[in-house]
Amino acid sequence: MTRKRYVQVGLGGRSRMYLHGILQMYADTSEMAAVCDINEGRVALAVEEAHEAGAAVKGYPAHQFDRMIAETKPDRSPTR
Amino acid sequence: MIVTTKDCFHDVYIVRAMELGCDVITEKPMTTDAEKCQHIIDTQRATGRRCRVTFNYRYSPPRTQMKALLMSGVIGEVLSLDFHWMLDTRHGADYFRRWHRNKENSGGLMVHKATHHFDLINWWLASVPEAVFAQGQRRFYTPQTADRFGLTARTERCHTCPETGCRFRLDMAEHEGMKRLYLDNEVYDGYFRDRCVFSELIDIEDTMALVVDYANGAKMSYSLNAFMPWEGYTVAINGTKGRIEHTTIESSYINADGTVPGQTVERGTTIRIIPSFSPSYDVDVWTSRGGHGGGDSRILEDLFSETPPADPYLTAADQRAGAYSILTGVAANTSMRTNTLIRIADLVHDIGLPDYAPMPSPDEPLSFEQVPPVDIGPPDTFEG
Repeated sequence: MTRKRYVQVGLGGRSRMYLHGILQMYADTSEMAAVCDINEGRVALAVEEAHEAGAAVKGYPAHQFDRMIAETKPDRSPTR
Repeated sequence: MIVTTKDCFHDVYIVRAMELGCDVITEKPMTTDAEKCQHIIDTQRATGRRCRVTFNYRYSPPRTQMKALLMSGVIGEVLSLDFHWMLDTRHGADYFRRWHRNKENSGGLMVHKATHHFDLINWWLASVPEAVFAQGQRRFYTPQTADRFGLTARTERCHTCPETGCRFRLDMAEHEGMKRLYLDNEVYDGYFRDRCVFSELIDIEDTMALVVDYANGAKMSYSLNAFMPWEGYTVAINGTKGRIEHTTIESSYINADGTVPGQTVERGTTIRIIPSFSPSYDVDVWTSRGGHGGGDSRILEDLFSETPPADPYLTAADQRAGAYSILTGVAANTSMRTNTLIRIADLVHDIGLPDYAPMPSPDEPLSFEQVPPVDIGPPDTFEG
């Protein structure tokens, strides 16, 4: 099956439930395509941790948020 | 697109993502003030995108059980409630170290923290707030308190502070996760996670008391204190047929220190039903394990599982519930500042009412007959 594709902005303490939830518990249904933060060190840390978990996650600085969406095309529902 | 930024930036990414055609999942609080909230509501309506707000507290089994009990009609129609939340000198103090310590970042504890509580109330009552009066102050986490503890050599952050005997000291280097996430990355943005809890730069309250009027007529008295010797809450809900008393004691933690956040203490959660004309009794509390009272694993399953469990309690929440959950606190912030009653309808318009599961009818006949205890078990889909 095709996995649902997510991106995430904001990589502080509370981000980890989602990031690691997708990487570790729901990797069969969900994929974290990219992450984004104002702090480049936290972006690098999230990308590295994803790599250790066997996932290729792209990292973007916060000012490239639009570019992240354009390049990674997260999944969306049909418009109601 | 998942939003887990600092609270005051949630709106920027929620709005932009919806404009770019994305559906959004955002952490609570949805945003921090009325203007930003209106922008989210308007953008969602204009774009038709989905905006999901992750209220993990709703997913904690005992809190879902409270919803089930209220829906069952065991206490009839809800007329009033008392809700009192305690944050302790570990977890409560931690808000005064981090970016949450300033209202422009977090909306204060009235928004950042109490959005959880006000959302639970809205959901439990199947109603929305209409008017709020609040009083608040910061009296504990102050320079004066530090002086009274004898901490006169203190500096603005723990990392460089000579007051090594301070019970509020946080050594980030001691916690591997916190060191990697924050201490090692200070060089990039200058964010210090270990600022002094007694700093004069703090502008949020540690002591708050509210009266809230709801659209269904229910009246709430609520308090939040952030300097308590234990962490958890007591809630009592009063209905036409009796009263439910519910208490939870949570284990103490500091965010990203490697412990499980908001984990409930075994046997620390109780639910007692006191019918008006029958003996009172305790009910078996639905099991909860893990972060935020067992809510984190259930909300992840609901968000990311290919086959999310059935949701008879309408636990999943969107921007309407997100808006009403913050507006009690936003109104409280204004009320505390102006010393006046604040009406929710004056803050944000055209939110739309959240979807709620059916509740007991206010027209139902009442009786003096003795009633047997209710015993509602958790749905089969609950993990033990």
